[in-house]
Amino acid sequence: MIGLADALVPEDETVGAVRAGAIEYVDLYLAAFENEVPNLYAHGPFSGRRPFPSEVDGGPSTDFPPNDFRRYKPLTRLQELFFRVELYGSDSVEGGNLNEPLVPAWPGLRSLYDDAAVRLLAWTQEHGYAEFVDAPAADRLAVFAELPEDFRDAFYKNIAEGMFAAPEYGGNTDGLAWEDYQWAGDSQPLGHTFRDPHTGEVRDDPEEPNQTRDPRWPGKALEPFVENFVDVITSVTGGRRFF
Amino acid sequence: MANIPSAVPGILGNTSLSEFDVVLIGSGAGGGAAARVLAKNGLTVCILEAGTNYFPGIDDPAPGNPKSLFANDELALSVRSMIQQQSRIEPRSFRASPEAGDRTYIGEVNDLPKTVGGGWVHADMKVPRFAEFDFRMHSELGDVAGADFADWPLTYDELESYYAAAERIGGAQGADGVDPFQPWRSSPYPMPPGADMYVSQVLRKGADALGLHAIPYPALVTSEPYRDRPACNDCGFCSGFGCPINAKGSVAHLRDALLTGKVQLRTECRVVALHTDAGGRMVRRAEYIGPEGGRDEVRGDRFLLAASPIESARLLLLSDPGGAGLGNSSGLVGRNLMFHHQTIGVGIFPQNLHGERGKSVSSGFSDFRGVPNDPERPLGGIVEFGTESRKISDARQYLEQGWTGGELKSFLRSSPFGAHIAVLLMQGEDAPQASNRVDLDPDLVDIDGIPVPRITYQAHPFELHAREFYGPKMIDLVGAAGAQFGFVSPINEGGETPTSSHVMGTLRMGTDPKKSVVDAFCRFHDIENLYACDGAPFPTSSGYNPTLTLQALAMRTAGAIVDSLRPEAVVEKP
Repeated sequence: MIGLADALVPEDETVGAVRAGAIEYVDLYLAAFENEVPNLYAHGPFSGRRPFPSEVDGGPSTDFPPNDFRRYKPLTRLQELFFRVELYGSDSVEGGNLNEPLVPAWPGLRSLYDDAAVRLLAWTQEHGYAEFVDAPAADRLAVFAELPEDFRDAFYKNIAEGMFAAPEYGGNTDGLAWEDYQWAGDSQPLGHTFRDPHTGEVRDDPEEPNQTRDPRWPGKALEPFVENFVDVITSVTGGRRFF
Repeated sequence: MANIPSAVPGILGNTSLSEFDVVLIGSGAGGGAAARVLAKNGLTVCILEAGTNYFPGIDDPAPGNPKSLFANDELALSVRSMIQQQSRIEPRSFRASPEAGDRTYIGEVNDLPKTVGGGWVHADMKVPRFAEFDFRMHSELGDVAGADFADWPLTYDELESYYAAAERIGGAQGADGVDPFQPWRSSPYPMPPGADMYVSQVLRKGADALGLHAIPYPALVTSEPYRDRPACNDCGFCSGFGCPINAKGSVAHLRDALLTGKVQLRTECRVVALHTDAGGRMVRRAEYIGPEGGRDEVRGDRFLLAASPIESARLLLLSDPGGAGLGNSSGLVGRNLMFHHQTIGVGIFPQNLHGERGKSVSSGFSDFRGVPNDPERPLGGIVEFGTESRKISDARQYLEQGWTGGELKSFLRSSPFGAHIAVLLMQGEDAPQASNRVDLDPDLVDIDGIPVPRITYQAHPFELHAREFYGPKMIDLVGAAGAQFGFVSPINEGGETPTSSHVMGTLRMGTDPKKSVVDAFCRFHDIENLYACDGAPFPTSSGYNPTLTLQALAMRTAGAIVDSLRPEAVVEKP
């Protein structure tokens, strides 16, 4: 899986999927029911990354809440049934396959990953590599394209989640992907505007403002490849390019 | 004295109550508003809620309550759908018309949250009022071919005091006297507008250049401390998320109701049938599947449907197996289903618009709502200034488009449809059509074996014309605001599931039992003790966000019930 993640989202000047912890995220997700309380919904409301607002002027105080993302909410009956179906397949719970054959049986994410791992191992051995990740990226992508569609769809989704979900879910190590791709992440209980509790005056967080352009992440022109793509989309939909 | 807060898991409010004047199905915006009026006037209420509670202390009168278990957590709320139904175990089906077959799609179709507070939890709480002409659309337009426009059996003037009450109880922010298209008001907004997010200020320049009237968007979100709730701090996780600090008024009505000691709220209870007496004129009991999967029931004198238009219609159809559906002598139960037809104008800007901060939408304009019968200003809807706030979904779209390697990294860094996107979203009026409907899918069931809703829906030329008319103006606007690219997000006309969460109709309100399901006070023509208090009674959809109107209507309905059951009560004048 490391070889696939690295081929899809490689490391360059911004963090790739592997160093961002996407595979660790997948491992934790697939093993969710091995915990006393499945680690599927972080408890909340706060992660402890941001402090409470100051009682003096509404800006950041030195008082940080505990990290409530490190514990998890108990599941309702329907939530548990859903995640058991999602991870272990539609045959794993009573009523999970009532709509077959109108709705095809769902094998479960664990089975999809197991099956993909077997295929990757076989390919690796057949082509004489010690590890799948040793193969050239283009070859790994070609192998990925031949894997079952259900797996590929799940992998796309899980890689995005593993890179950009809150770090407590196992990926997005140290919030590195949020930082590298310039996204603010969770901000409670401080938020992005500060309100002076005495005067009622509201002002922006100077580092991550709400009402003005961000001085730290002002943004820059789209990279040429992306700009060309957006140009095509604009043209196809009958839109306009203004400059 | 009031036996609150509850110490019983799964039950909120007064756990000692066992007999109820009213049984209410659903604890969302309509259910909460109705429960408040009923309970404050001395009626006992049992609320059956399909979802669970993420507001601990909601029934605790101590200051600082309720707490919130919602967080700035995209994975839990947006990806893993913590408060939504999961289509893998609770699917719906869709088709554009019966000619397309039994269904063309199985999955998520306009699901609304199932949780204490309902859809009002995930909303970003935008609360414009309907225009005065919205209540008399048939009188304004006459017969429109292929559509079923109708007048409401009440006027804006009759509802105005309830609007004001809903704004006061929920805590609305807004600016008085700045929107030339808004109807008269009896009182100012309780709070001034909050901070105007960056993308909104960028788009406002475009609106100004085109001579449009940009306004702070009214919202039930605090801009200053209000009723023991702190001011919103613009964390950015607003639309699609529960509020971690209760700046949103999602459960304001419901908390007031629970604190009376007259309400018992049972969570994780999915109502699957209403049972009537032998004559079929009175509902006697509601049967539900409880938190452990077993069946139970509750009895009451009056029953209120507040499960959302699709689920309320589903329940009536489930309650008459093999028949036409409970309360359906008109044949209209489930029909005239409406969503707002959302036209989305897109601007791609050179700068980072950081949509992950702010209230999701803080400004907009009403100019595109239009004027009846004016070809120069056709009837569309209010326009919201928005953007994209979510990062997982931003990354996922580029992966699912098939980009890999260096090309994918360019998309992730540039984030054209995330950090650089500004969105104009028009909530276009959706013409009512009897052929657009909810019925039960003939084959599909949920994981408990209960038949699921099937949605049959096709857009009408009425809303498509508004889209064609205003779409180019949206492109002009984003260009004037400084966008590099501008286009209108395409639709697959007639063949795709509608995406709006604004769900209305299915239990049309009116005075003629042959042409409507419920009367002017939302009581069923056919069933003496059954009412609707969600968006289902709406005869037309307007072009404004519907929930404040829904709450005002629910309060009015609840007041009528109080009048009928407790004539000595002094119904709180809104």
